[in-house]
Amino acid sequence: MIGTQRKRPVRRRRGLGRFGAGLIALSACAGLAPASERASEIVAGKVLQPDGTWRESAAVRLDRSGRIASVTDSDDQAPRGASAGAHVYRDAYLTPGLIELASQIGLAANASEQTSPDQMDLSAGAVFDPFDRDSIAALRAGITSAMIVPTPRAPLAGRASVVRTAPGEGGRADVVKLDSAGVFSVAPGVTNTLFGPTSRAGAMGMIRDAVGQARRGEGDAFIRAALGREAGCVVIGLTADDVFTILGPFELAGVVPTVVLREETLDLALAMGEEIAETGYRFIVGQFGLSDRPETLAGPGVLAGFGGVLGFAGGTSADDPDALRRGVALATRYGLDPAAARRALTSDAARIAGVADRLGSIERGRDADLVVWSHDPLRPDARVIAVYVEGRRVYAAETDAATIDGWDDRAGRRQQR
Amino acid sequence: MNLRHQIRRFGAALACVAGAMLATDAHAQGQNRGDREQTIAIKADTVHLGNGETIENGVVLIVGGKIAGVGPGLAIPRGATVIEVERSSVTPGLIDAYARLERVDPFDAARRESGRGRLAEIVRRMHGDHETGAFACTCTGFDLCPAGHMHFEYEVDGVTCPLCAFPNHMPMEAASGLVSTASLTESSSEVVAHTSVLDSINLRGADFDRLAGGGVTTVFVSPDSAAVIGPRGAIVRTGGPVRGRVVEEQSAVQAAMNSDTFRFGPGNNPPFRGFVTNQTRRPNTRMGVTWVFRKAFYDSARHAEGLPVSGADTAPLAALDVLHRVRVGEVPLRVHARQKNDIESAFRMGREFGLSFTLLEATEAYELIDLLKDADATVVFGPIEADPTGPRRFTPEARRGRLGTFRELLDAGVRTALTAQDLRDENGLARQAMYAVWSGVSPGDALRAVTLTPAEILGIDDRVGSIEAGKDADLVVWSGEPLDPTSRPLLVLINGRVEVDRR
Repeated sequence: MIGTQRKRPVRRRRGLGRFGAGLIALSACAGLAPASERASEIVAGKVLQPDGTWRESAAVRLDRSGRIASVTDSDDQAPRGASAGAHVYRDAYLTPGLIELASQIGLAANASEQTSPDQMDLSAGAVFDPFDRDSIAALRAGITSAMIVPTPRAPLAGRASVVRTAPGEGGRADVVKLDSAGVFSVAPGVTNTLFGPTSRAGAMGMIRDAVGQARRGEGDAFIRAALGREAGCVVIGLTADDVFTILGPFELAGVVPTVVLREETLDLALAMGEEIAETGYRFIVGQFGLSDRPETLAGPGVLAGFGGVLGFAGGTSADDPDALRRGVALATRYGLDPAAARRALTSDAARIAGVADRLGSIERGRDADLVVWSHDPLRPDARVIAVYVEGRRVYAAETDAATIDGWDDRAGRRQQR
Repeated sequence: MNLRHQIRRFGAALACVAGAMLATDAHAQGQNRGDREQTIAIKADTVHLGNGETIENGVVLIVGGKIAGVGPGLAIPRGATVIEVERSSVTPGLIDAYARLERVDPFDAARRESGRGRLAEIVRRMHGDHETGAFACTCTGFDLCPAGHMHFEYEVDGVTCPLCAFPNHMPMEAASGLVSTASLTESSSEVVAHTSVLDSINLRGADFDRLAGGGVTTVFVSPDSAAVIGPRGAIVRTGGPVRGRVVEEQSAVQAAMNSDTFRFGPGNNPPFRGFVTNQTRRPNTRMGVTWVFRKAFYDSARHAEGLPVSGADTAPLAALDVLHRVRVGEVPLRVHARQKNDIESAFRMGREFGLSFTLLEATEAYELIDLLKDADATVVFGPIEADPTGPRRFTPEARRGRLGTFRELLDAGVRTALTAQDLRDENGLARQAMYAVWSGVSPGDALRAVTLTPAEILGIDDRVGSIEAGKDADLVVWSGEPLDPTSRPLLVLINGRVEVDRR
């Protein structure tokens, strides 16, 4: 890997001049490997299963298009060098790429239009920048995809999109699903003294009106699609009471939206109780930090205990991307089941984002977006060893790699330093 | 994963908190189930029925959350839970037909404390810890820090913002995205009858506990008067399971015929360089208020006939649909007016559009007893107070109240209920009835004005408002006579469930 990284800048420097050289130097500093050959097989000591538990030493075989072809028990006696492009991490942990929900990655405060309270035409994915520092940092932290939402500054806040944090073909944004969900909010940020609404009642009036029109088959085509389950619905509140209020019109429409709530999740869980499992509510919680109160941190565990499907929200552009994993670890410490926590980072997050057929689990047919960890990612000292997107290793932490016993690259370059 | 396992994982302290909450919930559910069959007998020295009648040494029987019977020396069935307190009296749960709730939410707290630190804390809660960028003044588009540094200095000095020139502009909140109008009422238009106050209130708020503690069991949650034709109010219980509290979600439309509409809310200002927003286009005189009222009802008639409506002040069409239903009598109307001239304007508008309505507050009603009598008016009067308090302190309209107005209204035969609006505890609804007695009203009539009369005005007298077989068991057991200044509510029952117990 080092070899390829060093060679290419030399070759390109002549063609691109000073600017191009700078870009490449930057990408080398960021530790991003240039797009390489796809791996044909990745072997790890522990592989995360879709239910959130670990499977002992398994081999993940990939097909030529970068999808997972099969997951089998790895055989230590396999003939060495038999398959070129096999990457072996014997004591490491392999998970699907983490998925951050309700994220602002790569948006650079661009996705909040305030000229009108109805922004349902705006898709966050349309302004996503894969070369933003946040996107690169997120990728290095093992977050390979994110459901990005417009900053909720309007009751009809816009459309959420699912994007990869790594750039796609030709450096373009790799948008997995442009219109993943309609975002509705009654958090205080939606009020506006100049153009309205000025109150939660006003914001709710607009939401009721939009949902009501969609139920009659009128109004915005995207909201009709969202209520018809072609896309999801996401509702945002600051308090549990906001959530109870905003769920009203969706209940009438027979739609179960995904709830975004950071604090007061314990209040919500205790008030909803068994209804959570019966209705099949999904929640996006977090982001959590060490300064959060125990009630806040205990909420996700109780929600999951009542059968809620959880995903975790990301922070703002100024936050450390590892905060996602740290928040989940804190919720685990306050009662969230570790398997549910791992699902909340991967398969459940993919379900909430509406991309479970492509991302979020290590199963046949899913895209090979994979992350190799030094430990269980719920452990605070776990580090990212390598990140794969569609089977290509886009990031490798060399120093860590050297410390992992048996880290071996059968593609030909043995990395022992 | 089962719940017990869940709780074990919390850690000791939290398990106690959450466990207690779960236990309370489970207990409440159990009690609720039991209530369907449970029989309760309340024995008291005096039972005030709410319709003005009184029974000495009475017994009230409750079966399954409903009143099964009331009378002197009623036979108490075997197995009934007997509640008996010496020298106590029983009344129906009090009803406030014009309760104005305290808002308990982050923006309001920010405004009340009006401190940079508090605001910054809320911004942090909402947006994370970063302190720069992302926040722009809504009028200039300039980037600001979340605490609104740029504007804060001007606000302290009391001069207008040189960039946006709005004297009443609240740039701190605008800059942070936290916009507070200190109002439950939507004020993006002057006519917002399509919105509902229930969307603005917190049914779990502590204000309901204070109301229940004062013996008030049902309230009409009123919007404030920040718009000429405001949202629809809601009728809710003050206790019991939250999901079952709402009696009527979409109740009467409430209009304001006074200067609150341009004093409250975001404030009205002359347009600045033609920049028309919802801070500039609203009325700022009484003429303007009347005009908005008249245009809205006129437009609702045109809209109902399929004719186009136009003009800068045109209300949202959804609001016009509601006003049409008001005109044809499907939705009740309430008009808030204090001064004599405003009350006259309200009745003039009523005659013009053939509207009947309930008059609210009516501080200067003593000037217009004959008008109210001739119009067969319904009034929710109050509060009775020596000096205006709360929001009424900040308007000159509430200064000319008289202690005897309520008695004069009753003497003239005008159907009048009493309200405490935003007052609680020592100035709450029970005290309002006591002040009425001081002014010469009989205790029976005063009690009726806070029980059966408001229930009739709200159209819920088939369920609550008096102690009568078949009605919901909303009852208050007082430590003495209810209107005695030293007596307190000892027990408050809502739907036969004990919500407050101070025995």
